[in-house]
Amino acid sequence: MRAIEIENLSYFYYTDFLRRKIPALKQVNLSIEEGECFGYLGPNGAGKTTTIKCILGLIRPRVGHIRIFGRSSLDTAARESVGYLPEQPYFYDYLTVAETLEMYGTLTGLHGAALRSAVSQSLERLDMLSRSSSRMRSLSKGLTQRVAMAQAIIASPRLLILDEPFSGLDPIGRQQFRQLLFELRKDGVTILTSSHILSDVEYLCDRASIATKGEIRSIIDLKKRNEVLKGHYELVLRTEGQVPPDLLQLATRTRPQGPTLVLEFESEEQGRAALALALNRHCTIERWEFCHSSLEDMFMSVVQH
Amino acid sequence: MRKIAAIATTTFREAMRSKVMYSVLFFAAFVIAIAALFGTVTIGDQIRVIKDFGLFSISVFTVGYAIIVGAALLHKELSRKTVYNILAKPVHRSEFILGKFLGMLFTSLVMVVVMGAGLMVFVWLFSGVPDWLLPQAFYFIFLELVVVCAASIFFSSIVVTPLLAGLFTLGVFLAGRSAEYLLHLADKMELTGAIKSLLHAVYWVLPHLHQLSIANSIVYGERLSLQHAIWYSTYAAGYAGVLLCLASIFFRRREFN
Repeated sequence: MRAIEIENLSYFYYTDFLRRKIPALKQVNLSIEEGECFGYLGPNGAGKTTTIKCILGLIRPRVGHIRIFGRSSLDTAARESVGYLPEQPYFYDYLTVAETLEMYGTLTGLHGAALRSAVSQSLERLDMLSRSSSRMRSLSKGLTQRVAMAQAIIASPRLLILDEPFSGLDPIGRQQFRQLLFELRKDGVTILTSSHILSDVEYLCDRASIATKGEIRSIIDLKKRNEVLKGHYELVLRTEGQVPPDLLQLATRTRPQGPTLVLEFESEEQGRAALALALNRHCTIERWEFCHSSLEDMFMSVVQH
Repeated sequence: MRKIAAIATTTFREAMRSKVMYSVLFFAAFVIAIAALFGTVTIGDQIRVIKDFGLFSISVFTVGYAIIVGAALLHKELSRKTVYNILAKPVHRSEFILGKFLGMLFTSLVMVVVMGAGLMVFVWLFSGVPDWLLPQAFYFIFLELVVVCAASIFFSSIVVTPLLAGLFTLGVFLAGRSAEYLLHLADKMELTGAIKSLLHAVYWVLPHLHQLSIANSIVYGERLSLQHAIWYSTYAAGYAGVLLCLASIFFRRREFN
């Protein structure tokens, strides 16, 4: 079953006075299978948050349809199986952490013993049990982000929509979030995440789309990243001595990196020939390796074109 | 129903823990105390002056609080984006509106009860006997608040700025308090035709808050019948219900960009 199905989605904003249309999304088509972890990437203004708001019914699509597990996104009941972590989570200042989670748990239909158990479980998962009676206004940005994640997972959603989940987290928090998302994925939860931290998307997601100016430009199957993402060979030399000019001629690109010089080669043959030449000329070799081009390289190439 | 209760409880908790409400309560207690002192130096019926001034203060402070806080209620939710998280859950927008209204109304009820208890104690201290007619006046102040809270939620669902929402609510409150003068005006100026019909229409559209204002009757010891209480309770609930339905319709069409 498809967790999310977006068909021909378009959205535009109106300017205040002249009511001119400003397109935010242009005919977006996307489907995410149940149990899949999908990264939604794009620079600022690409329409990521607008797409998420359309999925959650916070704004109505001007054109097109969205279905969540087969139900229209405009149907309130479609959100029963959805957990959402907003880009900048805001909560009520004077509520405690536990009261905040109780409220969100109730809104998702939990009550009684099930609610109390869900609150303590989600607090425990986010390592926030000791802060359960702290007022929300006293929490740092990172701790607020943890509460935001706790309220998103409180009712064990089948679909988790995360808008920049790693923003404001320290390295330990980021690691914990990654681990939590990995566990949720293993439990079969479908995850749709937008993020600027591409290494996290690369680590977590099965597929990722790259959007610019309201259009999806590319969808990458990250499980087949070795086939999809290109790579190159690198020979890294110490530059205390002179680097032979014929060695430089073999390289596709060169770049200095601290006390070393990095020589890039597109083919393995070129790389091996250069390695042999470097050994022959008694150059100090630091490293010789095959480097995958990262999702970041792909992202930059799509965005810049 | 649980979802509405959860939103109402949150609104109530937020209000009870903020400093604004305690400032209003403190100021109201101060004014009632001044009224009591003023009553002691008044020639004639000092108890009547205390009751009159006390009921007036309770009405002014609670209605003022409802207008200021109510008008900013939805605006605050939108500007702070707390509403995003709530509406991303399986919650109808009408449930959100009703929850906010009930939370605000319950806060207003607590204010009326606290101030009313204070006034009862003052009257008891000065007269030596408790006045059991006063709670009837408190109940009618509460009925008035039902309409004012609904009006402030209604206006904050249709206008962008809290200032405008507050001014419109204040306008409706003042017009509702003096609605009967519209009919007097029509009769006194011997208006006929379309203008008279228009004035009558405006009269029926405005909330009849002048009929909920029974402080004078209570001060002079008149007891209202149960039938009156039931009729005015139904009227206030019905009027607030219509405003909340309209607020829900407008809020449903709102886009959270």
